[in-house]
Amino acid sequence: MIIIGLIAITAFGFLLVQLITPYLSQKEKIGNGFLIGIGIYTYLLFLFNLIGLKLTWFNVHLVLVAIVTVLGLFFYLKGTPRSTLKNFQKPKFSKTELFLISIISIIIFGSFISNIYWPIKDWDSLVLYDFRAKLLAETGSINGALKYMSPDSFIGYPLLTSLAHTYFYLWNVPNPLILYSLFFLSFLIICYTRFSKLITERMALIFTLLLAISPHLYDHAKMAYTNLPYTVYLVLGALYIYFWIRTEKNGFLILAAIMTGLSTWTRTTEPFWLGNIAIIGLYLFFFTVQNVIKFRIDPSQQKGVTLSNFIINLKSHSIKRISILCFIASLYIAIFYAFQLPWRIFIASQNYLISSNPVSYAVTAIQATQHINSNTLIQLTDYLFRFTILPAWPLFLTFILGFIYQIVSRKEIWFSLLVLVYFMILLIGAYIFASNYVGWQEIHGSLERMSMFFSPLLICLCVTLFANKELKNK
Amino acid sequence: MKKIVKYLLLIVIIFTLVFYTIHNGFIVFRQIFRDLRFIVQNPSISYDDKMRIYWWGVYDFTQFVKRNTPPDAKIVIPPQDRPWLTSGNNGLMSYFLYPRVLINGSLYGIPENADYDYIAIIPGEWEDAPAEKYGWPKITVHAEKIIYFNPQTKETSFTNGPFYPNQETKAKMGLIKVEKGKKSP
Repeated sequence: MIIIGLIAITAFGFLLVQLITPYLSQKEKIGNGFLIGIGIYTYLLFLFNLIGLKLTWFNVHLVLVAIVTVLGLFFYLKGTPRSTLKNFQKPKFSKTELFLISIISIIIFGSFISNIYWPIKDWDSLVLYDFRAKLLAETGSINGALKYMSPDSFIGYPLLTSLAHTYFYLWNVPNPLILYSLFFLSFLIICYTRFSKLITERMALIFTLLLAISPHLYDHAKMAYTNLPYTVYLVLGALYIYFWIRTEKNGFLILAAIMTGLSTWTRTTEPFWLGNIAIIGLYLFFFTVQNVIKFRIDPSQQKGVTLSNFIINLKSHSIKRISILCFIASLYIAIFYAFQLPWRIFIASQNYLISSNPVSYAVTAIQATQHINSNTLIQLTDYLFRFTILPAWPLFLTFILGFIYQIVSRKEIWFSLLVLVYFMILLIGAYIFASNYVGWQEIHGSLERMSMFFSPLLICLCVTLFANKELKNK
Repeated sequence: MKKIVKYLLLIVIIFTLVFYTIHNGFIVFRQIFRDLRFIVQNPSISYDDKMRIYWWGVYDFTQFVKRNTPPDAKIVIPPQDRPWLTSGNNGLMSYFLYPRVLINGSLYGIPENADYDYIAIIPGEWEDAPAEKYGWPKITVHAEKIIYFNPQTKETSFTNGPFYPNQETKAKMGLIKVEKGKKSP
């Protein structure tokens, strides 16, 4: 019966994706449907619980039925569902492609079988994520669960995975581990469909296989940690920003905002979301500058450009596009913060200090750089090299070579820039942590988990290097 | 020249990715094979058996505590320090023992003014601590009864209090039912 619930959650996400990006393929909408469905559904449960709705089987389904019905009715009145169903096409694959699909399927199958067989067993999930879920299911409320658990632990991470587990427990299903296989599967489906927009189907399958055999991803597809969902949301957020830049379809940026917002609804400790905002800001800046410069060298202009001519023509040429971009970027920030802020307000309401805002990060970073300890810096570089770069050295090497390749071939470098910004955030964050915490070298496992998103991100970057298809509507 | 550099870069990138695929493919498929082999060989083992594989004697101990204490019991466990990093982890032990309330003791004592009914006897499961640290509690406790647990045979045995820490009790696992009104000296 839980399958019906999961289908309903996916349907909710599917309809939402249909609303935002109707031009995506059906399989991509289904993949996104699960990720966005489970993310937003747990987020709504959190909000409803804060205003007094108890987490009981009836109540959580009341919420689910209500949101699916509202969206479903909207599309029914618009007449979209019929056309959506008509769009389902039977895929045709060559023998090589079928072989690649079989290998990827074996890996996904391995994760599903393992998750059906094993109960939740890993340290952090028992101490925090799953324990919190059981308490939520039993007490029906966050305040109730807080009575049995140290608030320090409880507020350490947002509730996405815990509330998803709670949903299983409300159905009396004792093992919610299968959720992580679904995260893994959805991620591979979305990446494959995105890749196939840039490279051939066969190459897209090869790169999807590369994702599937990332040992960290596969390991985390079999355990109830937050790192896999976080990686999935963060990487897809980055990928959709890239597609927004390439196609200028605003729906991609809205999807990116939801994905990145949900990454902070999974984990708040890492501020990699700042990288997305930085890249969007940079893109807006360059777009604006580029359009102004383009105007200056416009051959249709006579002799020289006067100030009044410049302003009038600028208005007629590109001010509309720049305004739309500014609006959509503001919408990105609004959607992102809509997902991030409630949890931060909740933490503040528990009398805990919150430090996850750009200003506090900047202040801490400046403070840390004022007295740089060269010894710590050398140790940290060695540490990062061993635990972040070495496990995925071929991908980091590809990143460096790819960056040179992009510059030599004058290809656009937005995705590489984003990876670079993420890496800078990791470096600065690790340095600040190392400066403030004496035993920082003992927790390399945390560092490895924190930086595990680099592997899939770098694989996506490789795909952009090999991109040979023109994207529509540029 | 630019073209040569471009092709050279692409060749190195492709070579690196092929290496990455073979290397990771080997790791992941070996793991899938191992996982599936274990599952096929042990298709119907119980939840307890599965948890025992991951949490060794600590899991059995929590089940022993569950059997011998009421749900509203308040139990003192060792400090979260070597060699009790697992059994002294309040969050982890709470997962298995909830709704029982767990209180962490210190190396040589029990928190003053703490309200508790039981004290866990745990030798310490991590092997990298100094020899003198093993065995907890390290103080004499006035006990109504002491229940010992043999993790090998899963058998339990009862004795009457008080509990004196010594070489014999140092290696034992169990529970002390505290004599109310006569707390630890």
